Amino acid sequence: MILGLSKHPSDEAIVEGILAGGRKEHEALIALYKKFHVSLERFIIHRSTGRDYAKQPEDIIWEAIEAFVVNVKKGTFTLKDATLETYLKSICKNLWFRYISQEASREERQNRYMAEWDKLEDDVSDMLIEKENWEHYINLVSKLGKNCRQILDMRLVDGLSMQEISQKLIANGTFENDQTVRNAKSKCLKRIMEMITSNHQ
Amino acid sequence: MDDILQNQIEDYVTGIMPEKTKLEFEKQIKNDLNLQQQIEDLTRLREAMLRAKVRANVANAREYIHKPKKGLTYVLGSFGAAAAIVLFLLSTSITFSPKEFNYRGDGVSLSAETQTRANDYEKATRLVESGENPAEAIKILERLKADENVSKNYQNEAKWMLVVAYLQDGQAKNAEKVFDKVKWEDTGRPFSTWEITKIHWQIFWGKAL
Repeated sequence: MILGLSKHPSDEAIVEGILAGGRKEHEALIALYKKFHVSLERFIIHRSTGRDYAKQPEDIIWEAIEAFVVNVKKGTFTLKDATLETYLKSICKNLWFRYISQEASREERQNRYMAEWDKLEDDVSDMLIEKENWEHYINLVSKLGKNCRQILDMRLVDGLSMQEISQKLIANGTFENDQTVRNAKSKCLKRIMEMITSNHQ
Repeated sequence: MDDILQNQIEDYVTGIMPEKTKLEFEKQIKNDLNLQQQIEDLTRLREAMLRAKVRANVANAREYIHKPKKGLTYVLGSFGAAAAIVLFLLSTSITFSPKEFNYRGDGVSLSAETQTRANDYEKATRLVESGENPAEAIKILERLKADENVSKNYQNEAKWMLVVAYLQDGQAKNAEKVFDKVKWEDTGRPFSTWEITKIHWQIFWGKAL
């Protein structure tokens, strides 16, 4: 049983869970998948060519969930825009057509997919292009050590003060005192900024 | 760059800077190209961190959804199913090993008494194997197991058969008495280890009912 979420959670409850982070976010993601994966899979299969692709509808669904969660966190998606199902279907359609058109031959692409491509929603399409552009930075971040990731996550993503971060990390035994936490943060930040700027230039 | 300015940049980018300080800080940003660049870089890093974190969380959720369930219900369910299969197999009728006991011997002429005992033995075997009329099989086998003219091998063979006949007749306690003695004999057994386990189980269950 999902904590705080009923067996059939509303769209609002799922979005709130994602925004809450931590355990609630994990449960909201599971609830989101369980609620929509059947209809999304059917939706994607209905738009398939019967060819055997390396990516399966299941992969597309999880990619769509990832893109959706980023938008919720950034505040660029609200339930006023669309229902969750409609929004997820729109992302799935874009992701799927982008993928199969990359896989298709040039001729096939011209004949078959461009007509569909024209029908894709511009804003969702732009969002997916942006998503692809971020891949490089995500890879750089993934090269950071566990402690660095943890400190920078707390500071930059969760928006905690250095004092709050120190309290947490000293309490769980990761660091010994306030100064070592501050030093670690400065070092990690310097390292990742160097990696980003050297790649950016 | 000093720690105070670095903290201000971080507070500004994460959106936790108080409104009054923010207005002052934005004035400072306007006139400082270097500061603008630092904010741009940190904003980019913040979004990369956010996206990486979301990716990790989504991967965890996916793994959770697709991993085999090892919850209590799953474990108890599997255990229950396995136990039910074993109990079902233990409760099926006992069958004899292919190596059948030849009471008559090979090509030896038999006396009238031996001939009668051989006929009795074969009749009891048929009754026990078919499971029909175990009471009649018990009568014959009790006589044979006590017959001094029957060799120890034949006596024990009759005892094993008698255990099964008792079980078929619902006499678990009598079956246990004979079984407890014959199982220690060194004359060979007409049943496999699995069949003997079944006998154990059926005696236990017969006594419990």
